[in-house]
Amino acid sequence: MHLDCEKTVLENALGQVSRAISSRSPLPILGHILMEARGDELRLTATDLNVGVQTSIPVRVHEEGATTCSARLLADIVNRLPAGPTTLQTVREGSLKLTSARARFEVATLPAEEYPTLPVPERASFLRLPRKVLKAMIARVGIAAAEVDESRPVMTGILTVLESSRITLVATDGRRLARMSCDLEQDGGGEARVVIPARAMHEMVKVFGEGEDEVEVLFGDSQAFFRVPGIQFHCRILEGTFPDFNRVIPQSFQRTARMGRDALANALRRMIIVAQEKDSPHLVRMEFDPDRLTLSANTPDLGSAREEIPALLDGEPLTIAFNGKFVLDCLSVMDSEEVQLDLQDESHSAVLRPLEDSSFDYVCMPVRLRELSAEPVGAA
Amino acid sequence: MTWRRILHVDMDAFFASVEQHDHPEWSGRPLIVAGDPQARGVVAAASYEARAFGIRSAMASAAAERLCPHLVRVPPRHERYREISREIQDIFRDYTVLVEPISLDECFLDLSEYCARHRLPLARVARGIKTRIRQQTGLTASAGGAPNKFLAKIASDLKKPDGLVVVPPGRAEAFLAPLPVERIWGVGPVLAGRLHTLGIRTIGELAGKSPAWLELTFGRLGIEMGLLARGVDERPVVPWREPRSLSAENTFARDIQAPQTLLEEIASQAEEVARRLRGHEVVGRTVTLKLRYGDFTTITRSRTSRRPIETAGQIEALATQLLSRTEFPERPVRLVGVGVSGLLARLRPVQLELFDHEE
Repeated sequence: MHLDCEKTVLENALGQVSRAISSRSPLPILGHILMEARGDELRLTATDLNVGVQTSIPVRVHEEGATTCSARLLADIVNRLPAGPTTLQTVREGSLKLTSARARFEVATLPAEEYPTLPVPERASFLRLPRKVLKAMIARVGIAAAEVDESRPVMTGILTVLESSRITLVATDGRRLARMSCDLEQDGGGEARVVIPARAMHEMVKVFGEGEDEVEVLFGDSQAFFRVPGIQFHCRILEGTFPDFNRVIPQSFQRTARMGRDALANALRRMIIVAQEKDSPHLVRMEFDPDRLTLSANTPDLGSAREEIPALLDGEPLTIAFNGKFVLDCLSVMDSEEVQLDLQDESHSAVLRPLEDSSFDYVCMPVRLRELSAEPVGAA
Repeated sequence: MTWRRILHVDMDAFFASVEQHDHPEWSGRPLIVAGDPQARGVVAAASYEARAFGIRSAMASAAAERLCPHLVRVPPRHERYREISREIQDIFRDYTVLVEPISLDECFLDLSEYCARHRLPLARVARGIKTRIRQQTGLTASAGGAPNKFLAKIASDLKKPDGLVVVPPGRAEAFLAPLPVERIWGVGPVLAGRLHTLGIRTIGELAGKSPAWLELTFGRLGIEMGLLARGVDERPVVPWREPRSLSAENTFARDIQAPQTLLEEIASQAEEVARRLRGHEVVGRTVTLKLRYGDFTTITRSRTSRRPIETAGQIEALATQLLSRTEFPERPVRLVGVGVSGLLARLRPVQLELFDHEE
């Protein structure tokens, strides 16, 4: 392999593929980047076997070929090279020479044949949607996915449902649930229901960065593939049954409250400072009255806080408590000035959404403050 | 060799029975004490009438309601159950100080001394205890008597409800032999499966294995299983009593007249008491300040608050207020103490879940 390329282009591509490198990889080769020079392209590949990234950059190939070398070492070197043309050349058995201006490096390699084979999509893409839309959906829905759930790994994923020309993303950690839908410009031409690890989705967004173009999406049997020009990202599909989310999204409410998003978010940030009870983290009480919302929090031996913000309540006054962090997570990914909180009662789920926007729902279970008094339920 | 007289008392369908007793209109009806099915509640207790429908503890409330449409569902009132549980433990303490509660509805008693002193057989004493529980609380209990805790616990479970089984010393092995190995503490489904594949299904079959073989096959656990299978269990009944009050006090090296010193001591004792309240997961209603003057006269001043007392700040504020009702600083003080009584379980907030868990 022998090629010339532009330092900044190579640096940028290395940054993208390095996102797939795991620092705790059991196999040395997985700490490497596969480099393949063919035609007038250099294709860079990295994977931790859960996710994989492939980026192609334009280069001038003198001699086609392939090799692998340490991702970190290569990135460290390229980042510190001066801008300008850079030459990569395999010199002898197990060595790659990098030359840029007067700097010369020789780094150890492992043979390209030892690099694991990456999954290949079995079909052509069947869904396209704007990069910005996919990014916004992942940012909003991803907040509700569980970070870890050893008994229900599927809860660490984002469910993607494709029905003709509508795509819906759903995530839940069992206490809150986020759902967002979007109508596609053209019919997706198929139906699909897959769960993709939320962490991988967030990585994909970072790898793809900004752009006005579309993302091609393809679901294989065990892998999902996402492509933008020059970059392909793939990841494992999670197995297991995603909980029946439609059942837990309430359809009717006794109360609706409206308030400013910033006012609520800022008040919650202040309450959380003193809501440090270990058993019930970030516990914030919310008392809804017709014209205001009073938030309060306290931790014995630490302190207490109380704040009123303007709010409009339609329905009977209610006192309810939430993990304030759950509410704040949602407010942080919304961009509307006002938000609407649909409430049932103090022990049933509430739904937070941007005012007059039904494409995004955030269902949040409250924290029950005390035991209920004994009253027969279900008895005649 | 003298045998211990251990009694295991297990209240029958405790939470459900308390509800039926407090609400006579529910007696004889299928009833569960359970959380809201909408909020992923599970059955904490089921009355015997409800058990007839196949309803069991730990089942999802929603599932229980499907099994029995006329089911009465009552949300738990743990404070009430705790109150009755204390009443029952007080009955036990009339017989022995060796009372070891396992939960609100289960207790071990070591009655060796009582039986010896009154020259009474364990079965008679046990019947007497059961009768007193029924007279005083209206509830029934099942009891098992034996020379050790393991046998007593198994015995109490054999004739429910309102049962009494006593295993006399010397009959332990015969009593255990026909029972399935799953009856042994610590033998769960996995271990039971391993025992079954080795051809061991009853406790008798397990008792027939040599300790060496058991150790080789199951390690330390094997030795313990073998001992239990032969009815050997040396664990003592460890008494535990819920505190009625928590306090701290300190005697000064010299009598104190400076308010600052006393206030600092009160603040530090308030911290200590608050820490212990947290440790016991309780809150209190009453703060007591105790002072001993230089001439050894001791006084106490108490104040009961409407709000639960749990923080050092609350305790300190109330204790400091109480100081104005004493003769300090006119009379110097040699000892100061701060206590909290009227203890109640701290009700912990519960994060509710969206989905029912499969049980």
